[in-house]
Amino acid sequence: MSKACATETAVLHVLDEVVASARRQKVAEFDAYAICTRTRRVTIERELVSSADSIMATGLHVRVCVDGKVGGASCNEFDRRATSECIDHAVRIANLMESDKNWSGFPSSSKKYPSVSGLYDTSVASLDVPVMSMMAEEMIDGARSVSKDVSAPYGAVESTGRTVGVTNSSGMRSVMSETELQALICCVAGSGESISPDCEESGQSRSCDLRIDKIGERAGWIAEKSTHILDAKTEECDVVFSPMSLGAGNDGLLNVVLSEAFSGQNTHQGISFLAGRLGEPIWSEHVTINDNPLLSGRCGSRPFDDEGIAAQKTRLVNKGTLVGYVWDSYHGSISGEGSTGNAIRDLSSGTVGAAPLCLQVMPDRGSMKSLIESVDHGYLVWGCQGSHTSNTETGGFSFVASPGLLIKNGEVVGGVRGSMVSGNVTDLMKNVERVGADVVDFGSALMPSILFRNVKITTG
Amino acid sequence: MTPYPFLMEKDTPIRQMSALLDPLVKAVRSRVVSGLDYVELRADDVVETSIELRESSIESVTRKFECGHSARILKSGRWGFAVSDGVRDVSETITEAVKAASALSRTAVSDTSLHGVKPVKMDIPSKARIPLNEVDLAEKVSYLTSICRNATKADRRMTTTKASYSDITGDRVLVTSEGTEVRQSLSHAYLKTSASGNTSGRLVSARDEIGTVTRGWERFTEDGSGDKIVERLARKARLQMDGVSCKRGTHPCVISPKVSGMLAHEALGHLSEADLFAAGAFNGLEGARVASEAVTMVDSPWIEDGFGNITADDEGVLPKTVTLIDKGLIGAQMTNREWAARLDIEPTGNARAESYRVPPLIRMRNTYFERGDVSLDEMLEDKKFGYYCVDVSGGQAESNSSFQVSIQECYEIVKGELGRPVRSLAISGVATKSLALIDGVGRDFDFESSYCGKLLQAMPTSDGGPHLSFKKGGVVFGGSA
Repeated sequence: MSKACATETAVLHVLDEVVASARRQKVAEFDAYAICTRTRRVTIERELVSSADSIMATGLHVRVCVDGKVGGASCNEFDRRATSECIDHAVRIANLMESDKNWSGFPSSSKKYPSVSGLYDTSVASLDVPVMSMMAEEMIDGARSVSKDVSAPYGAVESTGRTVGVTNSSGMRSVMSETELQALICCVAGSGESISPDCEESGQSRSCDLRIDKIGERAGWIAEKSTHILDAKTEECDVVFSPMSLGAGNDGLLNVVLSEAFSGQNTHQGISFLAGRLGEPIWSEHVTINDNPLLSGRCGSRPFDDEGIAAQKTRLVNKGTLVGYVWDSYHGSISGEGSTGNAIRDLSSGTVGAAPLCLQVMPDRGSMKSLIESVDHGYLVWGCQGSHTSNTETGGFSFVASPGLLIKNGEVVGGVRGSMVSGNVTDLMKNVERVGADVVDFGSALMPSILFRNVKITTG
Repeated sequence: MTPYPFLMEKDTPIRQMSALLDPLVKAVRSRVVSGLDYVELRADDVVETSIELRESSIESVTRKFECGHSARILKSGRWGFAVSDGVRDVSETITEAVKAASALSRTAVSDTSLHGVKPVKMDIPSKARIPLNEVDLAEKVSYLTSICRNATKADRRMTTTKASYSDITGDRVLVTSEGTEVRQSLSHAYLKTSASGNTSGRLVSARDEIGTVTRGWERFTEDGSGDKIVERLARKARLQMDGVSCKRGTHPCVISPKVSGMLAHEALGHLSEADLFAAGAFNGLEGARVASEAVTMVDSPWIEDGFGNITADDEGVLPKTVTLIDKGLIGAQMTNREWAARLDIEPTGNARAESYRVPPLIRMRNTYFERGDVSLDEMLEDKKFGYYCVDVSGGQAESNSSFQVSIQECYEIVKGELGRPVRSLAISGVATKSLALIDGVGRDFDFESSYCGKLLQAMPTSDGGPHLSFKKGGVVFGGSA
C-alpha cells in the first residue's frame, strides 16, 4: 500500500490529536486505541439483492493513569473537541478511582513487530456495490444449482477496509490497515414437516479469492440433504463436526468455549476449566492448538494486539498436553507470565482483557468427506443451535445439531431433527479420533473438521 | 456514608435535543431528497456508563460518548442506507445512501413500497424517577459491590462473583420525509451478575440479569432489588453444586414463566416475524390449529416494567398488540411498514433498530403466553416423574421451529412433588409439535428481561407467561452439561 487510505489518514490524525491533547492537558500517562472502518454491504432477502449499505464508523478509547489510578473513556468522533473531552473524562474518572497497586504502566514498544503479509488488498477496499451485487447473485445461483427446491431467505456480501492504531505515553505508536471480504448465505429447502433448518454457510478472506458460488453450493447441499428426515436415537456414537460448527465466531462450539478458556485473565481468576492444569495431558494426542496471528493473509492475522504489543505465535496445546495461555500486559504482569500480545479491547465496556487472536487447531489429514467415510454409524453436525449458551467457565455444553445429518456406512443419508449433543469440552477433546486438513478461516479461528468418538446424542 | 467517597461524579449533560433534531429536519427538507420515495433519518446522542466489578474490586469504569446519524432511503423501490458519525453533513449521508441504492444491479428488488401511515410528531420523555445520569458513580459501584460481596458470603463454595453494569442516557430522534418527528429521551440500564464456585473439583456457575428501558435508578434499588439478586444467584449456584444429572430423553415437565417466555420468544415469536414467516415452519399454516384453545400468545408494546416497551417504533409507527397464537390457532404476523405493504395489512409497530448505526428490523417487544386457569400444584400432581424447569440462561430457535433453551435452575418431579435439584442442562423440541402437547396453562404470570439477537443487532425484549405443563414428547432433555 503506497498511499495512505482514508481510514488510515483518519486514525493517524486522531492519534496525533490524542498526543497533543494529553500534552495540553498535562496528562503524563495515557494510551489510546483508535479504529476507523469503511464498510460496504449488499443484503440478500428472499433470493434477491434487496439493499445496499455504506457505513463509516470510528471509535476512540483512551485510558489515562493518574498516580496509579486508571480511568477510561471513549467516543466516536475524531475531532479535536471530542478527543479533548474524551481525555478529560478519562482523567476525571481516574481521579475518582483508588490507586491500583498492581498497575505497572502502559507497555512500551520494546519488541519489533513481526512481518505479517497479505492483510490489505486494494481490490477488496475498492469493491463497489455493482460488483458486490453480482457476487451476491453468484452465491444465490450456487445455492440454486443444487436443487430448485432450495431457497435463500437471507444473506449478505460485505467488504470492509479498516485501520487500527495504538499510541501511548511509553512511546508506542502503531498503525495497521486491513481488508476483509465476507459472504454469508442461509438456505432452506422443503416445506411443512420436511422443511430444513436454517442452513448457513459463510466465507471470509483478506482478498477477493473467495469462491462465492461454492459458498452457495455448500449451503444448498446441506439444506437439500436435511429435507430427507430420518430417525435418530439416544446413544453415544461417532460424530463428525464441520469446521463451521466448531469455528464460527458466534456459535462455533470450540471457538466460543476455548477463546474464554485459554484467556490468562480467566485462568488467573479461576473461571476457566483450564486453570491450574499447565503441563497436564488433558486431551487426545491428536490435538495441537496454537494462537497464531502471524500467518500470511489470514483474517485473524495482525502484527500487534490492542495495546500495541507485538503479536506472536503461542503454543497452547501440544499433542494433547496443555502448555500455554494467552495474556494481555496487565494480567500477564500480575501473574508473572508477561504479555503474549493478546490484549483485546472492548470499546463499550472499556475493558482490556486477554483472548486468542487466531485460534488455530492444527490440521492433520483428509477432508471432511474422508472423515465421514470412516464412520459406519454416526452423525454430521453442521451447525450448533444454542452453542452460545455453553458454559465457558466449566466447558459444559448442550446444543441441538442443526443442521444435523445421519451417517450410515460412510455416507450422509439424510437429516435428523431435534437431536441434542451434550457433554463437556474436556471430555469431547479427549475423544478426538481424527482431525481433518480442510481448514476454514473464521477470522478468530482456523478450524478443520474433526471426528469425535463417544459423543452423547439425545432425541425425543 | 458511601464506602467509595472517591467516586463522586455524576454524568455530564450532553448537547441539547434541538442540536440533534435541527440538522436532520433541515436535511430532510432540502433538495437532496427530491425524487426519493422515502427518507428516514435517525440520530443518537448518548452517554453510556459501564462498570465492571469482580468481587469488591473495580475492574473498569468507562464512559462512552456516541453521537451519529444514518439515512435510509427508498429510491425507485430500492433501499439504500448510509451511516456517519456526528450530526454534520446529513445531506452528504443521504447522498451516500442514494448512491448505494442506485448502484444495485438491475435484478435487485425494485418494487419495495411502504404501507402508508399518518405522520406523527411526538416527544417521549424518560419516565425515570431517579435519572440514571444523576446518580453518583459511587452509589452505583457501592450497589454492585454489595451484591458481589453478599453473593460470595451466601455460600463459601462460591469463589468468584462478577457484575457488569451499563446504562445509556441521552437522546434519540427520528425524522422522515413524510413529516414524522419523534424525539425520545433514553433511560436504558442493564445489570448482569454471575457467581462461580468449585465443589468436589467440579466448576459451577450461575447468572442473573435485570434491566429497564423505562425507569431510572429506582429499578435497582426499590423493593430490595439488590437482595433479591443475591438470593437468586446464591440459590442457582447452590443448585448447580448440589444438583444431580438429568436423565436424557423426553419427560413430562412443567416450565416456569421465565422458561415459557423463552419458548414464546425463541420458538414461536421469531416464526411470527413477517420477514421470517415465509421461510419458516408457520408458512402455510395461517389459521391452523397448533395448540389447544387454552393457548394464546401475544407480542405487546407495553407491559409494566417491560424491557421491550416502546411508545413508537423506529419507523414512527404507533405500536399495537399482536396476537400471534389465538386460542390455539396461528394468528397475526408482526410487521414493519414494508412487510405490511406486502401483506396488505396494517403495520404493527415492530420495526426496531439497535441504534442509528443499523436499519430497523422486525423485532419482538414483550412476548408472552396469556394466563390460563391451572395452578402449579395441579400441574405437578399428575406427574409420576418429570422435571420442573425454573430459570434459563439463553436459547436459540430455527425457522423450522426447532428450539434450544439452556436451563440453570431445575428440579425433579417425583410422584407429584418437587424432588432433587438438577444440574445445568438444555432442553429442545420442535415448537409446532411441542405446542400440541401443552396440557396445562397456569393462572400466574411473570417475565424475564433479556437481549435478543437478530442479524447481529441486540434488542431489549421481555418474554414471559404463566407456568405451562407438557406431556411426554413435548420437550427433550439433553442431559446435564
